[in-house]
Amino acid sequence: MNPEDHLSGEDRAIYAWQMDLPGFGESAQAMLRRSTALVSRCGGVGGHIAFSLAAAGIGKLVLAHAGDLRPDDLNRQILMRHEGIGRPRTESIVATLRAFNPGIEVEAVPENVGAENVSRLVDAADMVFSAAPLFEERFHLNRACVELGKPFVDCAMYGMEGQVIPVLPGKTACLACLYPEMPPHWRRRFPVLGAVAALAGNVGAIEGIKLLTGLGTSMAGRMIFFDAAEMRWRTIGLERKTLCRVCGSGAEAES
Amino acid sequence: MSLRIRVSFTGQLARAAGVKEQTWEAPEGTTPADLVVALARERGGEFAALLLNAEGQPRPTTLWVVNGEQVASEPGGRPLEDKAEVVLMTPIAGG
Ligand SMILES: [Zn+2]
Repeated sequence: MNPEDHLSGEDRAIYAWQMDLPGFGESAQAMLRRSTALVSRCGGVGGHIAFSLAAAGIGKLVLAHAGDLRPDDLNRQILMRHEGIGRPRTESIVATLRAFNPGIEVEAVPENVGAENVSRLVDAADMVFSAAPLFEERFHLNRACVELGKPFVDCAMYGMEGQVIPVLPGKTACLACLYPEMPPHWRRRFPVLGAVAALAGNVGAIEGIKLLTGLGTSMAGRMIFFDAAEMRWRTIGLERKTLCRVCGSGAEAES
Repeated sequence: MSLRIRVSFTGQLARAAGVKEQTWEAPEGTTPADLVVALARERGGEFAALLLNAEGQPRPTTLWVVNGEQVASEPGGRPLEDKAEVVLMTPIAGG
């Protein structure tokens, strides 16, 4: 064990019940503490991802989310604060997470992921979580994660449904394998119950923690899909496309 | 003999259909693409626009799942078997 892997007395007190998990223990806790996670947008889904990673004791969170807080964010965006309406969302995000767990590092980036910042943001992370309401941002992240070989978890919801896709670049289907072009019918405004967004985000957080620590069985290569209206869950085997424009031979053709 | 296929819809497709599942009788040899085109023709409107492009070809962005495994969203796939469970999923990105 490296010297920095030794947990402090406070760490042991905070994470004691988590380290009781079979297959977890101090080594997994130390692995989490050494890890940096990027979360693209801390809204209804990503806010819960960040919150659960903070609770689990991730070393550092990098949180990308532009814009000022609006009243209609508050039915689902758990890191926001009512008093923060009209102010940058990152202010609420940082205040909430620092108050909850001052033992982790939090870096808020008041920008959404785009062509200009994606490589820098992804390069600095060990694990990437994708939870933006637009496919453009998800595709930017997907491409950078494939190029830089970073594991990532795409988390999305719609109405009472949610889906989570853990991706190991070069090994399992990437987002472009699923969606070879921009989905033409997706709209920025989608129906959302906060608890359903929370469910999608937390399934994603669990899959990310699995990939970081080796806990449980990763669903990489599959999509976890749920319909909370019927409480029906499916896991779907995904096809990695040899001609994928991002992770397959289509990438070389394009570049 | 005809096939009895159970088809489920998710996301915007379920909204457009107004139902989440239905059964569909189809002749032997029906491929997933045949099923998608036939369903789109029957329901028409927004439902059809989600599944097919302006040329009437299946959209590659709709996910087709047969018995729990994704299959390519394009013509020429393996014919469906009797009692197959098909899920047609539109892309979602709510965050
Ligand atoms: Zn791919």
